[in-house]
Amino acid sequence: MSDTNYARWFGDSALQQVSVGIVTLSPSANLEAVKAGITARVPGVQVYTHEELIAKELAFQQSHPTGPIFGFGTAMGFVVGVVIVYQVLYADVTDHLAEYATLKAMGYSDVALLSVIVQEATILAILGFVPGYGVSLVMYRFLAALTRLELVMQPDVAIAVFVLTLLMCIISAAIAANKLHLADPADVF
Amino acid sequence: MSFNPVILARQVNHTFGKGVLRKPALTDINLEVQTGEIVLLTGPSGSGKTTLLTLIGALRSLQDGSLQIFGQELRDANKRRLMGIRSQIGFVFQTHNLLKCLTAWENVSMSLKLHRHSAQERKMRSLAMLDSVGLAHRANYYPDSLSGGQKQRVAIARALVNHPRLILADEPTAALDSKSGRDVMDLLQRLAKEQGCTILLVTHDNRILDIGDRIVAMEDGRLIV
Repeated sequence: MSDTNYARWFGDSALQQVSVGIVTLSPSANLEAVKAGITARVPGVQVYTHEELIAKELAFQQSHPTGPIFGFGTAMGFVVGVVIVYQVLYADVTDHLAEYATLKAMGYSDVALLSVIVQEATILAILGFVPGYGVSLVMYRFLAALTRLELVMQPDVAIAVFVLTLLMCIISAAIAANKLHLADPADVF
Repeated sequence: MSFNPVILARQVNHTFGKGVLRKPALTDINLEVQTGEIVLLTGPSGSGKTTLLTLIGALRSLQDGSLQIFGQELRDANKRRLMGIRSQIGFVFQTHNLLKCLTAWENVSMSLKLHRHSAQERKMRSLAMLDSVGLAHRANYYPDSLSGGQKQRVAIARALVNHPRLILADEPTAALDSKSGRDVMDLLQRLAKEQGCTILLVTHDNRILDIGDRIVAMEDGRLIV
C-alpha cells in the first residue's frame, strides 16, 4: 500500500503518527520479562513477540476478504489444472488407442497400461513445475521491488506446491484412464 | 502334451447385436488344429473368419460352446487366465500395428517384456530375431522409415520372438505387393517350422494358399468341409 492510499484509509494525520515500533533485544535478555515490563509501564500499547506478530498478521489476512479470495483462487487453479491435464492425457490416449489395444492383445494388463498414463502425468507435472517455479521466482523479485516488501520463496511452500501439482496430474491420469476401457483388443484385427 | 490339439473348438456359436438386430456370426464351429500344423482359414469377407480368430486369440469372450487353447478352456475363464493364454500366442495383424515411438528392435522386445528377461537378454534376442527376418540393418529405424513389407517383417519378428506355441495371423499380406507378400509368408512358414509352432492364418489371398498344410473354408459363419 502506498502512503497516499494509507492516508486515504486512515486520515491525513495517520502519516504523522507512529503506529508501529520495533524493540530489538540483546540475545541475553528475557523476552517474557521485557514484554511484561513494557505492557505494565507504557499504557495504550500492545506488545507482541516476533512469532505472535506473525500469527496476528495471518489471522488478520484470514479475517479479511483478500485472504480467502486468494485461497479460493488457488483452489480453482487446482481444479482448472486437473481439467487441462486431463484434456492433454485424454487426447494422447485417444491418439494411441490402437497401440494400447495392440499391447492389450499381446497380453499386457490394464495395470501396466495405467502405469504408462501415470508416468506420463508425472512427467507433465515435473515439466510443468520447473518453468512454473522459475516464473514464480521472477514474480517474487518483481513484486518485492515494486512493493518493497520482503518476498522470499520458501522451500516448504515450493515442496507443497510440487506435491499438489503431482497430485493434480495423477487425479487427471485416473480420469483419463477410463478411456482405456475403449481399447478393445478384438478391434485391432 | 504335444499330442493334444492346440486348438479344440466344439459347437462354438457367436452372435452380434441384441434383440431384432441379433445376427449370428458363427454357427456350430468344430475345429481341431494339431501342434505344428499350418492351417489357412479362407472365405469371403463377412464369413466370420476374423471373429473366429479373435475368439481363439482370447480377445473376445466366448458366448456358447467350448473352446480349448493349449488344453485350457476359454469358456468363463477369468481375465488373468485369458491374459496368460494371450501371452503364449503371437499375433500378426493385417496392419502391422507397430508402436510408432519405438524403433524396430524395441518393438520386437515389447513382447519379451511380458516375461521376465533381463534388459540385455531382451535386446540380444530382439536383435537376433530381427536378423532372422533379414532386418538386422534396420534395427534402429522407426516404423515410419520402413517399407510396408519391412514393417510386416518386424511384426512377425515381434510375434515370434517369444517362441509362442500358436501364431494367429489375420491377412498378413493384404497390405503388401505380391513379391513382399510372398517373402513374408515364406519367412513365417520357415520360422514357424524351425520353432515348431502352430499357425492359424486368415487370408483370401490366393497367391499364398500353398504354404498351408490344410485349408479350412468358411461361409456365412459355418465351416465348409
